[in-house]
Amino acid sequence: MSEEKKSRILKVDVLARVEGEGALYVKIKENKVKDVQLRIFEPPRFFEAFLRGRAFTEVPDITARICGICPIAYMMSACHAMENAIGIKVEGQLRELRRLIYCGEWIESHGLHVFMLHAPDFLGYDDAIQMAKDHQGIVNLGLQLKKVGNEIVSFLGGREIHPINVRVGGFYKVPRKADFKPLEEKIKWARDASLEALEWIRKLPFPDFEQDYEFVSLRHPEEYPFNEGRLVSNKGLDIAISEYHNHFVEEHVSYTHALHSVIKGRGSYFTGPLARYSLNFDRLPAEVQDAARSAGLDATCQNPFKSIIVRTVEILYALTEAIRIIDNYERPDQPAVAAPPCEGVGYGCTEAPRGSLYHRYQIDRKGNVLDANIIPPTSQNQKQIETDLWQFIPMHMNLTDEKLTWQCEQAIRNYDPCISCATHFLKLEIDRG
Amino acid sequence: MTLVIGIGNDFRRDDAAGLITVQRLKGVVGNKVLFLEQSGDGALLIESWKDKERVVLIDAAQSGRKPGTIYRFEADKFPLPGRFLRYSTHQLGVNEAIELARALKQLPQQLIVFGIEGKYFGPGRGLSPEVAQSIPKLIDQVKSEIEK
Repeated sequence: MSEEKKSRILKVDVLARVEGEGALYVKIKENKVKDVQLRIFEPPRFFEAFLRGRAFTEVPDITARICGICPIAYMMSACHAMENAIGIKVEGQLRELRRLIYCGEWIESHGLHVFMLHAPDFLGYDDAIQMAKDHQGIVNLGLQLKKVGNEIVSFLGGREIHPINVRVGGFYKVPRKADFKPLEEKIKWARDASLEALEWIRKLPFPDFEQDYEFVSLRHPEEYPFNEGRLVSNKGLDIAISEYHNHFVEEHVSYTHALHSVIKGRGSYFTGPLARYSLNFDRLPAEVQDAARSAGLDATCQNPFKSIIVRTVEILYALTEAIRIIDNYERPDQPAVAAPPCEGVGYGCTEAPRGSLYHRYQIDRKGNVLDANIIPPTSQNQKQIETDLWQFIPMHMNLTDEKLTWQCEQAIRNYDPCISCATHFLKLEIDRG
Repeated sequence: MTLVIGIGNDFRRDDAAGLITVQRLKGVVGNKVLFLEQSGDGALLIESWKDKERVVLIDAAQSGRKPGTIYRFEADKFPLPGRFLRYSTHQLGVNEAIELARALKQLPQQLIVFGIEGKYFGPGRGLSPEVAQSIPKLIDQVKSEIEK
């Protein structure tokens, strides 16, 4: 059999043990990609059933348990959906504090991904441990940045991993202005450090890979989005959150437990930092825009490998926004607005570090959950990740199996999927037929 | 002063063994040591043991041996064997934190890791009988370690 007739199978049995399991399977025959299957076994389905019958006030804390990295995103989407269902609105300083705690989550989540999980790929290191031996300074800086994110979350949330201070209607306790003092210094240091990091990140070697994506993210009339806005895309989508199911559909695919989310009539789409940035560049403060341009970005970015730059820009933005919120903070009279139960359906969609996180709940007049629907970003990006691999692999067919796997791994990690938990998540088996 | 860190997830059955051991140790050794309970986020671990002279870390293990088996490692001297400790989230795990800290020269002078082999790691609360039975022995061993 001639070389090009042989088939190659790239098989990754265990993507990680996270909140479930994942695997990657790629089949190449006669130098053509024949199959790409990203298999994710996804827990929110279990949570959706588990939530039925629970009080609406319990849902933020329960859904926060879905993910150890983005509990705030789950809490925020759940709170907004419940507030939508019972017809209340959280405004003023309470709304600002919600943005602040979300800043903390972006900083810690992006900090982990940029410096510990993604950067080693670009420099040819197996993991952050190997990279740390040669780049001690940047790894240390990454750890310190992440820590500042953790400190914001624990300061407002009560603890770092599964915060306990967030509730439907606001918070259980709110800080006094003076309480921010120790945190302020650290945030200011981190803001300067993120500029330094950006200078280092922009010099990484980026594969040439631009795609014509449909980006989807929230867009707000004034702000770079965290908690509120309309869902928009660069291909004409512009809808209220409550219209989500009119435009998106989840499809069953035989090889994965996660449903593939697609835009009706169009197919895969891209959610996450690249989409947020490309759809909301004009909502970034001027100094953050300048820093992004200095780091080599335009107002939109179609190269998913450059998501590492975009994440660092979002770290810078989150720190800038945190400083603004703290500077203008005045302690609200009440830590929460009243949230009496009533019958209703509520929608919430917020921007988790890795993309839009949609929640929908139906509750009865006592506030008990009748029905729950949670669509996490990794599930939404799953089909797009596969689409990238279908395009990316043919461009690199001449690489050895080992190098090709490495690059596939990097291409998957562009999306910071929850399955990127372990740095060695690809176990590869190659069958040359 | 020795810092004793218990690692685990109290909603993942035997994964809570490290946390439970630390909670019970508090009543046994009192205020002679510092205690910390963590989920196993590597970055936070590195931060918490930085500049400490002596650290004892307790975590549930998943290495295929008999449930309840207790292990002791001198992690300041040698890496832990392979994928010995279980990840509880998609963070940097405990193994990675130890090696990253070694590369960054941020390990405590002495880092003793105790592992206890778990049986059930599914969602839920409550230890398996094997792990529950071994915990008093683990507490004795950690107590002797602290008093060395």
